[in-house]
Amino acid sequence: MEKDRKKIISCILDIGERLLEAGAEVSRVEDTMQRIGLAYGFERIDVFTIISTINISAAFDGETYTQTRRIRKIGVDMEKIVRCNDLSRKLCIRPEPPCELIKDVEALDGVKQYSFFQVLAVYFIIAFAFTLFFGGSIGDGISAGIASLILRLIDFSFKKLNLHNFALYFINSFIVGLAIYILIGIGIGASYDRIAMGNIMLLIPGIGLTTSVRDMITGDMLSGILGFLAAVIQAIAIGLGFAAAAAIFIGI
Amino acid sequence: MSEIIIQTAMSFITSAGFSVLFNVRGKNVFINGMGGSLSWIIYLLVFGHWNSIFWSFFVSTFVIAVLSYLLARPLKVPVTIMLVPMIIPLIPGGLLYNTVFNIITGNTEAAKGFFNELVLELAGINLAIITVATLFGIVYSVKKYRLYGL
Repeated sequence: MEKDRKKIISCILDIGERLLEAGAEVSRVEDTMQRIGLAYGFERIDVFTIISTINISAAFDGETYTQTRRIRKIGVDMEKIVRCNDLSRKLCIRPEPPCELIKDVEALDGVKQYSFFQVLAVYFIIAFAFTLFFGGSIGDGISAGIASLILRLIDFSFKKLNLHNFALYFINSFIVGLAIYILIGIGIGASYDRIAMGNIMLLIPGIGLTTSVRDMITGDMLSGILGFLAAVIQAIAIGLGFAAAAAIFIGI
Repeated sequence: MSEIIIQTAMSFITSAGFSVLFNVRGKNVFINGMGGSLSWIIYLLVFGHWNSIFWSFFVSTFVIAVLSYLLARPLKVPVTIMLVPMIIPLIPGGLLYNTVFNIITGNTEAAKGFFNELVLELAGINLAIITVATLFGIVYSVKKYRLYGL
């Protein structure tokens, strides 16, 4: 039975890990893990989460089980959050035996993703829309769209190198900055600022910044501060990238 | 006038587009796009009326947050799935970039102006979300535990 309990704790951590990696709020991760733990009959569950680790300690009949997970990459995958949520609701109503639980947790990784070309098309559309949103012409929009395709291809191929975020965002924005100057040079689009802004909206951690401020106000201080710093550092990398591109073409 | 129409239409596209990037699936992509347009229309109305950055962001986010809480239950999704993509047009990504870019290029005066605006917008968005989350939290607790004899 003790082995089962360890397995269950490990599965609860798996669910928490997937939630956090899919971009769920820290409070949701902690809440979900606690609920599932209590549904499985543990007397006491303590979860502590920051954006890079999850700790869980569960007490049962005088024994305490503690496990930790290190979280490396955080992205956004809403469908996975929905699925984790469904699973957690199901488990809270009827806790499953460990063998079924493991299967259900593994099934979470089979969440459908949009294909490479669908995402590419959406990049074009978003950059186009934001450029018009900021007052650009249709030509500016098309220029931004082309630059965003380059951005996506660079981003996609450089991700395999396992670079840290700062280098990745610096390189991405540097190349996009160059691409926009070249596109304007050959006559596609005219307003550099608006075209750049259309692409910056794809790069900038606006959501991360907004969420981290909320974390801080609602009491998840540590996660809030870490998220805030991560967003600021990412913004600095992007700023430096565009500044470097500008330095080459016009000189600062 | 045409500017307003373009911005509202583009808000739909950006919110729906980011929904796809965030792997939202099915009809929710369309709903999020509508929400994105709505958030921008409300922002324009409030800003046109009171000319206040803070209140225009607060009111717009407040309405969108209430809407996402009300929609989340019947659509059986967590609130985040609606709320985050719907406020995309309000997210001050451009201001964050401008602040950082002006600091890097040594233009501190301009950076200060952008930073002030950034703080106001972030405050408006986040305080609205927190207010709505707290209000709905109270309503749920009162219902669940039948507090105060309700």
